[in-house]
Amino acid sequence: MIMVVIVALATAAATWLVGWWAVAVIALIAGFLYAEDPATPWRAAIGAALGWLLLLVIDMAAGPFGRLASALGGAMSVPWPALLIVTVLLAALMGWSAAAIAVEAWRGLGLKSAPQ
Amino acid sequence: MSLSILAGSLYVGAIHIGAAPALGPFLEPAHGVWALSRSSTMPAVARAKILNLGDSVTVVYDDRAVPHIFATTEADAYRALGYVVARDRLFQLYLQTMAGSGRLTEIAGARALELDRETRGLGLPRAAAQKVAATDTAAFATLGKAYADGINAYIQQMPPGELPLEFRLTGTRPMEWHPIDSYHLFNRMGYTLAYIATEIDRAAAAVKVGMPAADALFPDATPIQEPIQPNGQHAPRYDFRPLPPPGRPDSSAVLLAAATDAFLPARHVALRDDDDPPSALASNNWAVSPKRSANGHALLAGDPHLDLTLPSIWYEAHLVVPGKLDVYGVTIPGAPCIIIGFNRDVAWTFTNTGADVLDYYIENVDDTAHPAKYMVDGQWRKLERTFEAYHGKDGRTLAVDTMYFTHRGPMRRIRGHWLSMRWTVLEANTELRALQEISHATSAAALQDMMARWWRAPAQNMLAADRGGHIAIRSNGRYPLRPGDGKGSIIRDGTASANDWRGELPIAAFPQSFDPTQGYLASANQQPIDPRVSVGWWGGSYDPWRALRINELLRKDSAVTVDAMRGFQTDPGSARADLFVPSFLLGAQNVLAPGREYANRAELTEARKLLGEWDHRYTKDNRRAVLFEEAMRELSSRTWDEFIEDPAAGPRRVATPPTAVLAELLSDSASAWWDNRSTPQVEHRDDILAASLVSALRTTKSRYGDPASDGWKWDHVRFANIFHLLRLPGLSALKLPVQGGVGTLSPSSGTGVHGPSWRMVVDLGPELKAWSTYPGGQSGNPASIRYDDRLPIWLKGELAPVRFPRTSAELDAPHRSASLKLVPEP
Repeated sequence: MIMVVIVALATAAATWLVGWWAVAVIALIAGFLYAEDPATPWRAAIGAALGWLLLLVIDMAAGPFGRLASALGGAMSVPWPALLIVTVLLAALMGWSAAAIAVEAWRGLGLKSAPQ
Repeated sequence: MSLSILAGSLYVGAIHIGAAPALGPFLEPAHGVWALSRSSTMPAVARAKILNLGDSVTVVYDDRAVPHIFATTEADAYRALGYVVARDRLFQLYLQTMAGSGRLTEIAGARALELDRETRGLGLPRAAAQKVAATDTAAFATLGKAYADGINAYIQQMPPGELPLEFRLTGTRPMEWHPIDSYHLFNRMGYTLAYIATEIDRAAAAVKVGMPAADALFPDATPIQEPIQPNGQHAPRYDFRPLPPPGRPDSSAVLLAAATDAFLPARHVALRDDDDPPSALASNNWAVSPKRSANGHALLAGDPHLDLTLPSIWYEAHLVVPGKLDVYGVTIPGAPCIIIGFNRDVAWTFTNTGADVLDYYIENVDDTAHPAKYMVDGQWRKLERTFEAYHGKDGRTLAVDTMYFTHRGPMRRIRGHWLSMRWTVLEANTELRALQEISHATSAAALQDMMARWWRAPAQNMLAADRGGHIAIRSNGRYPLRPGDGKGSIIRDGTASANDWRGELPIAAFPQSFDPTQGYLASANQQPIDPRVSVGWWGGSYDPWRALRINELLRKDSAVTVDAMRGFQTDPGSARADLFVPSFLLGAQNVLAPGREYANRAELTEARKLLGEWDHRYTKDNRRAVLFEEAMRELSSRTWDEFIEDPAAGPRRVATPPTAVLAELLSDSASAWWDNRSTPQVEHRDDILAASLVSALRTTKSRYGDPASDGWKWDHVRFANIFHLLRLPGLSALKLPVQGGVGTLSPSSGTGVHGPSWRMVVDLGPELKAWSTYPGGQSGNPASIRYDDRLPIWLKGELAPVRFPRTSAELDAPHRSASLKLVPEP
């Protein structure tokens, strides 16, 4: 749980400060730090998704988010909920895959054996 | 697998796939598109820095999101105007610049190549550069630079999250603004407004039916006279004469017809869309003097009809420099001035004049394939040659064109001849100065003098009224004096300088009127001056219907109120219907006369009854206007069959005479023009009117159902379609039911993409008051409630009261929505 919260906060902060690809960097770091835990990739995915959700909540609170979503969906000819799902999914995919690579790399390098 | 997923995620995150933006920067919620939510509501208090600002500027936004700019110098006021316009309309600024400079391919790729070729082929960007060079040190140019400072300050300070949606969708970025970009904008306006269709229509018609007939069908003087400059008559004058019959094709007109195809291909395609009824790209303005207003004040109304877009072409603003400037009105994003509006003393508004200010010359060149010189008065002159490269989104060169210019303007090869073009839009002008000067006018007469002195193109019917109770109108612009008969509708020999323009029409000869005895003035793009008063006026295809209607309304009302002025702007009455409906009914009655054989008697009887029920009004719930419009379309189609381009290809005509000429033809029941050449018998007027009515009834029933059904309601048939600048349906306001039809004061075209773009009524009492609206909203951000918040009242034909404070403190809290402090950048 703590890892999910840390990843979420770090993802939100890094996205704000650096950019969208920082999600993968944070997940990669999390993967190395929690390589022993087989659930790390999934937790990183959830954390990354929550990090972006947190930013989305800030966007929602600060303006006419519904109008924006509707306009955006209209402009792109897709239902706006799909855009929200894609947004969160993109973060989750980057989070899961980057963390998984880190875990596999950790194991591959033999730095630490996987838990039996 | 995880590596593949990560690589895939990063790939779709970083790379454009097809038209879709790169999803990473686009969707990330800190600075991506979702962050626009945070900038969609203006902060209650904000602060920004502007380079070169002399002193701090206070901007107060009212409850309609109109910025009131309080500065200590005019330059600072224009800096602030640039800043607030950029803040609200950044993508519009960018798109207009790309369109005006012929660089749309850099946004849309090869799809935009023909548009860019037209823009550059006309020499519009070249003309903009020449205008900037010629005026660089003038005071008004300094204000243009100040305006650029403001725009660039916003661009430089804009947080990443505020990048407008359209930049994100198109993968583009805002560019630094330069004063030349304002000239690109004005050139675009010239392109839109200073080109008239009559010349090309007449030439295309002559190819089919000979020049005498074409001259009569596309006359320089409209047969229905209700001119802008009052002619002392108390009713319209109908100069109806028999039209000469169709003659032999005139092959010599082919070259002139082809010239417009070559120079303005996009424009010509638009003009030839004959299924569309007359365009609503027009404007109205009128004013009444104190003796004809209920409150004893001069009143002024204006509504320019242009392309309707979201965001709107207009942006409302108020600029105050104590003791120097206090002007309110609308600007076009990119124009460092208020274009239509008022100050404390005077109000003004335009309609388009539509004079012929474009001519063609046939040139003699030294090498027909690759010319370097052209002959004038027996001497070779060097051609100016430029190479225009068009680039795609990725920077790749899509095409390179060689452009030639003579001293007259652009030259190109058409049907084996080299033709050059001269056009007032391409020549030195001082429109910006005119608009900046009139902001200071203290009377209607002074304002007209400023306009006459500085305004060149496109020619505009400038109407003004002042608090002294004066009203004045003048068709301001530059009108070339030509050799010979003075007409601009022929191709002249370019080898003789004697064929060049010989000067300009003097201001005294402009159509104009100051405080006329009739007590009112009105213009609606009609012929500006009665041909009995001036025979040397060469204009366009003047549509008289709106002018007839507004003059009728103003004649009837000797105590006009502000509310009546507002009501006139959306008046559903139609002078066109008043003239044509009785003809249809009479024609049908004649055909149905006892003893006369007619195959479709029952249908014609029904159609006549239905049309006879119509009150000639285009209200939203009207169920008969639809039948009339279909009958008019049929009448035009059946009457002008001589102009069908290719009968095998469909009903498209090369040209369609104006409806005022069709009205003229109605007075000659046996004219040869009524005969349908595809039938063995000879048709007369009543046969065509009856056949049109029967066919209209069939079409309308098949398309819209029973005549009593809602399908026949006008608001089920005709809409306003206000497209987003990128024509994205999701960001557009489509199928908006509107009151008004073809030729009404609030016109509605078939496509619904043109219409009243700004409505304003001004009461010039001791303390000036005004009301206004436009279809859209102040913000260009589709997520903002200010994107389209004015649409409901525009659709209802209502106006909102304008707030016109003298100081920022006068705009009290309930009427304030935000404030912005602009400070000098150290």
